[in-house]
Amino acid sequence: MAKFSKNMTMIAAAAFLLAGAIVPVHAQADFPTKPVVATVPFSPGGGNDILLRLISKHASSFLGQTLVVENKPGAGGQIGWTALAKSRPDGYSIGATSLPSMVIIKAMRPETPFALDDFKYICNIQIDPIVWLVKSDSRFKTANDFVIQASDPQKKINVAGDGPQSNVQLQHLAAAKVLGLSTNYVSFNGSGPAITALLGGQVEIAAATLSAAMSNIEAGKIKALVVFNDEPLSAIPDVPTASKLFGKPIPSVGMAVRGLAAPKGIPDDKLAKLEAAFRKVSESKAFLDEAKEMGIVVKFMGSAQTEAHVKESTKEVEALKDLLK
Amino acid sequence: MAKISRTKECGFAAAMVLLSAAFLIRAFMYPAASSQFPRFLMLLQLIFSMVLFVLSLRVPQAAGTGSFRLATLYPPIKVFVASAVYVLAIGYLGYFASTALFLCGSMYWFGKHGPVVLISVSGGFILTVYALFVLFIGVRLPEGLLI
Amino acid sequence: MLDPMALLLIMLGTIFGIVIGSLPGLTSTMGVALLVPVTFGMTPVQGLSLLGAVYCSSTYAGAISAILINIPGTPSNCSTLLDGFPMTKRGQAGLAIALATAASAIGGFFSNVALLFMAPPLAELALRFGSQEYFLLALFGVSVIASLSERNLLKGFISGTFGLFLAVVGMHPMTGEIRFAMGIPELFNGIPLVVALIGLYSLPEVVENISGSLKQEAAVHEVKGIFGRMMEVFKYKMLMFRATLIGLIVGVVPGAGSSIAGFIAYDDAKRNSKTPETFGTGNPEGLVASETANNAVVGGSLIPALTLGIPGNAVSAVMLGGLMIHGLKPGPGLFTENAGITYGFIISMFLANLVFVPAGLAVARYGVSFIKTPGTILGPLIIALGVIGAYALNMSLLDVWIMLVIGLLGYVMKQFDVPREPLVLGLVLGTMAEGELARSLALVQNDVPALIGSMFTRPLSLIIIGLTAISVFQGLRSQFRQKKVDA
Repeated sequence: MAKFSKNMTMIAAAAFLLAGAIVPVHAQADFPTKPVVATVPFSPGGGNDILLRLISKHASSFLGQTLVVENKPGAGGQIGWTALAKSRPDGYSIGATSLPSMVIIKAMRPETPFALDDFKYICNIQIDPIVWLVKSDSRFKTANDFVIQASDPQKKINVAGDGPQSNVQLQHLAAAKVLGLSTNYVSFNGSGPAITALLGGQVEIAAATLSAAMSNIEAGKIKALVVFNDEPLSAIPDVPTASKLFGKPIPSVGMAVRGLAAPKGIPDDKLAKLEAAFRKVSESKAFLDEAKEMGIVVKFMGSAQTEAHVKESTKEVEALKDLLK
Repeated sequence: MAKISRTKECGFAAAMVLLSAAFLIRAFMYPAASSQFPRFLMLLQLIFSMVLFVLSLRVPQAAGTGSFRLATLYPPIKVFVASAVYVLAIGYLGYFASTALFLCGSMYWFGKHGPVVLISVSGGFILTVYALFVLFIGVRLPEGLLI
Repeated sequence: MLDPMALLLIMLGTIFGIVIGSLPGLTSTMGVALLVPVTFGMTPVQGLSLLGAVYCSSTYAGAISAILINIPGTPSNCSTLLDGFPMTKRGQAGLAIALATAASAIGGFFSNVALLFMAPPLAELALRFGSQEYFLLALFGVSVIASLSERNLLKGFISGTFGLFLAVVGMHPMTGEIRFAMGIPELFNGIPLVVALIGLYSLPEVVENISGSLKQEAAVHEVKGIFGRMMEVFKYKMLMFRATLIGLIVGVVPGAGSSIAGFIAYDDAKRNSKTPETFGTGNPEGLVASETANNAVVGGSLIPALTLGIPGNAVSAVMLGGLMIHGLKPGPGLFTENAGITYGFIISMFLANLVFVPAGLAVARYGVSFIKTPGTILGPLIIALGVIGAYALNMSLLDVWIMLVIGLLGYVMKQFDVPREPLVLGLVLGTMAEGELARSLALVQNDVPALIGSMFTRPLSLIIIGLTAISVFQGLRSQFRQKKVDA
């Protein structure tokens, strides 16, 4: 009996130690004391990856620790986001977010094991609107040229774009619905290949994220007809916004909005510290200069504003998700 | 070159026929637009397997292959059991603890090496992995109860 | 343009790349991606020199494990083991490594020449590749299967179709329907090639190792005078010329699956050889062809990346990311606006291709004794390495389980004398074949006659169809001859 109780004591002690290791006892004032790991749920080289690596390059001085970028790709982001949702809410595990992709995954695959409120959104850093692109010598001089040609249901025009079930496709179909277009959306393996197809003359028009198109726009090989965003962008001052050009409200539902999130349950003071650090990164001149060079449109939103945006995006995607089926 | 015997060849071909048929049926359960290619492939594989089966009937029964020795199955069973236990352990014990156990255990199980070899080889391997992955390139390996 | 620091970084990058490349499961992509953060504190030329050196040397180093232990270090080296490992069994491991080193350096060097002087016209070629050309290219790749299944054509075809089928697992590229994934999210994007490769080759090799069926045959490995014997590579000038061309073009075409370059070059070498029947039994020609080609991919894959901002493969996508972080805008302006950095980077790639030669010779001279390690010690180490490789790709334990299941498949295939290389080829090409065919059909809005018509009118399509026809014809002819000899 004595032996038994001794064992019990040991087990209890072990359980206590374990509990101590797993449950954050109290948020220390000197957080962070070790590198913060940011999971990118996509392969290296993609839009989210490049943004996070740029942030990581500039974050050390504001964070007091390095920001380590770790790729965990698969299933269009589902695997990385599931892992983030399940990770320890101690402030050291955070991850890249991409709206509306997260919302689309959840809408198209309801069995996905993460929920959008499994996360506490730290901030948003980048917006990446969708543009319609043509080659510089295209017969479509303006977006209206294209809209007129694309209104004939007998002769559908091919539109190249990232897909299937991507934010680009959603944006294109949403616009086509409002404008009454009948187009043939051809899915490519990302915005890059879609632009290649455009440059190679396989299609006359492509829908893509602005960041993917930027270098070729600046080189004068392709031009953007319209940008699906509410306000004009300083990066492409001559390109009209969709709502203004067409005189109808077109939701910018497909605009990629990229930021950072932590698993829910993260202590408020740590969240605030992270938010403040990333706010300073996004305001630093060195970061802004390099971001501009890379065609990244920076738009910082704080935690509360990002949470609100997630709700809004969810509502928009839910309303339009049948277009993707 | 492996010894060809009729039993072995026929068995393989028959298994492939069944497998191809199963996948073919599965392929037809998806909408046509999404499964043209797998349907075509499995049909092709079914045909290849059937031809292989017919041809294998003509393979002469090699002499002395009738007595199947169970002992030839020991090495693969050892390898796959050891690997499966190892991977299972990683989820609970973490990478380094289970790797140490696996290396020592399997080297002993496979080859009855002495303690000096076991400890020096697994110690060296773990240190190398730690230096290369954790210290230098900062990959996070699975953590468990014991590191 | 290159400072001493950059030279030092090239050397360090080369050593790191050789380690990464020669360990099965650690790929060039991973090696480069892991080093991108390390370059933040460096000047652009320094950082890019480091990344370029890793890319070059890791592509080469995959041959080392292919030759020594019959497990390809990276997917590109799969065709290297076909003749590399038989050479090792014959006691020629040192020579095999020396030849692979020289061939890699030459392939890498000349594709860099192309990168330096012919980038814009070759980038034009990349743009001409439309969906239908990709589909035809995949068919051309499949036609190589005959070369890879010498002993039993039928089993080779079964292996190839099964590989194509495995590549289909996951999301349909046009409809988004998820197929054969059994509800496992890790399979939605298909079976990861690297994970499959580790399982397919490592585990069966370990079984062989511990069952002692691979007797060390007391092979005396001649390692003296390796440098002189390395020069034997120049016996194969024409072969290397064609292989470089193949690697370059496959590299330039974005997303063509650069690991098929080795296979195509192997097939080409075999068809043009005077002794095709010795391929697969340790003919240096096969080894030289595949190593020349897969290193020629390196320069090729950077051409569309630098000039168009479109990466040729996964590694160059990561390099491109690194480039952008260093403030370089890939695209048409790179060679003019940032000429200093761009040319500095290309020159560093030339150096990287030279630096791995002495390192490779050291491996050939001293590393060969590694294979004398008893199989019962080597086996567990190979498994442990395979596990960490499969895990580190996506940081996923499930991938490790997939690796084990495919390992079992590989073992069964080996037992039944089914060649594994067609399966790898199928896995590489399956996604491309299915996706690009579906896309070509979508582009013509399901008008099949129009698609067939355009396949026979577009010049590039016609060239690929012609090459495929030649490959199939020659393949059948050699099979037929073989039968005659056997009979």
